[in-house]
Amino acid sequence: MKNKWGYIGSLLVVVLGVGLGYLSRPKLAECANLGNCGELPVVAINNGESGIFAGREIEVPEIDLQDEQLVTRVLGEEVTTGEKQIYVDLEKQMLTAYDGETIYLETPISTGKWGRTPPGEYTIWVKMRATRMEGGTGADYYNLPNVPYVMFFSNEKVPKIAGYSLHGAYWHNNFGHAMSHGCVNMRQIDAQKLYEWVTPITTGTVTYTDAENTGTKVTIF
Amino acid sequence: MKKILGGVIILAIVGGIVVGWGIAQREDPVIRQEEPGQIMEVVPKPTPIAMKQEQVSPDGKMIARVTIEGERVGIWVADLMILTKRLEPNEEWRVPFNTWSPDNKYFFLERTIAGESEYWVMKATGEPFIEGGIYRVIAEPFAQAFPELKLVSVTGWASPTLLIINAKSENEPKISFWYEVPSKQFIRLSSYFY
Repeated sequence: MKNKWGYIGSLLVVVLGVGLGYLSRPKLAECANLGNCGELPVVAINNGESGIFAGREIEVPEIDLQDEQLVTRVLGEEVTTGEKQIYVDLEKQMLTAYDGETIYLETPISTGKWGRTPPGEYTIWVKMRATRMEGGTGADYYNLPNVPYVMFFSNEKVPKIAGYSLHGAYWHNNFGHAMSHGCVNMRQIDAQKLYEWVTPITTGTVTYTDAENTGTKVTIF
Repeated sequence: MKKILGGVIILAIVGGIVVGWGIAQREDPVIRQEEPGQIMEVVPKPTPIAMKQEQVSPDGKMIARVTIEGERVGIWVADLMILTKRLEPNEEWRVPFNTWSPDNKYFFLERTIAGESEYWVMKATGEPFIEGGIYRVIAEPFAQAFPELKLVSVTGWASPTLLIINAKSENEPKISFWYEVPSKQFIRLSSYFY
């Protein structure tokens, strides 16, 4: 009898331990785009393809790099009056970019509706002229080539492979309202303006940060 | 007594001169005719624009604009006048931030009449829809299709052909629809957009 209660007690302790261990396990980071989750983003320009969003086929704007004037600046060149900082207000669905104390850009944006946009302090770690974003399932499936002016950000809790970014959106026009799978969607004209302003200073179709060419801070709240 | 009388007389004379000058100034019509006997050229003053709102298209190539000049409302895409109409009492117009469809082919405007908003959809080219007419009003067919609901807002485009409509009823404070422009269908959604 005594052994029986001892056995049950041990079993409960084991079950409790397993439960606590499971609950306190290190959580895997959420991903902005499940189709790209776990992979570092790559620059991709896929002209001639169509996209899918909200169950509809989407005409994809073509990108002709030869027609574009690459906005580059010499490292160390004086191009700004103060520290650059981007704020994303989730409640108001507004982005404000400051150059020192001066507002450089203020515009409605769209953050996570089908996926969460995680609040926090981030740094832009790479800029890409365009990439592909894919995710969702069933009616929510999306596959969007040529997503323009992508500025990926990360921090110690949200790693680079989670794929969160600020970028232009050509498939919807409902800014000022939650509409994304976790990223910060902007009008293409606003995304371009921001892309050409933020650091790292653009040096090509893809620009990584380094010790001399650091990334702009992004605060999501 | 004489001094007072003298003062009154002087005051009356001065007052009379001032009033007389004033009347003369008013009644002095300066009619300027370049040549007497010829018909004067009348150059009308331009009516000041009372209201102008506009939004650039996503590709940055077009601008949708609403102007109110005097009693006329004008709807434009760049320099192309899509429509002009008489401004009715208590009528207001707004060009929403998300007016353009993402593929630059359609745009919508908010017209408020006596406090009730209706929404007009048009083609960027100004061409008529298949049923005729260069614009569609969303509020009326929505009210006919869903008499138990009240249309709250149209916020923007979920895709190139889907307008997002938000509504409410007595029991449900938030209900969202898509309005598919080509088919004119309202599609009720399981989630809401506001």
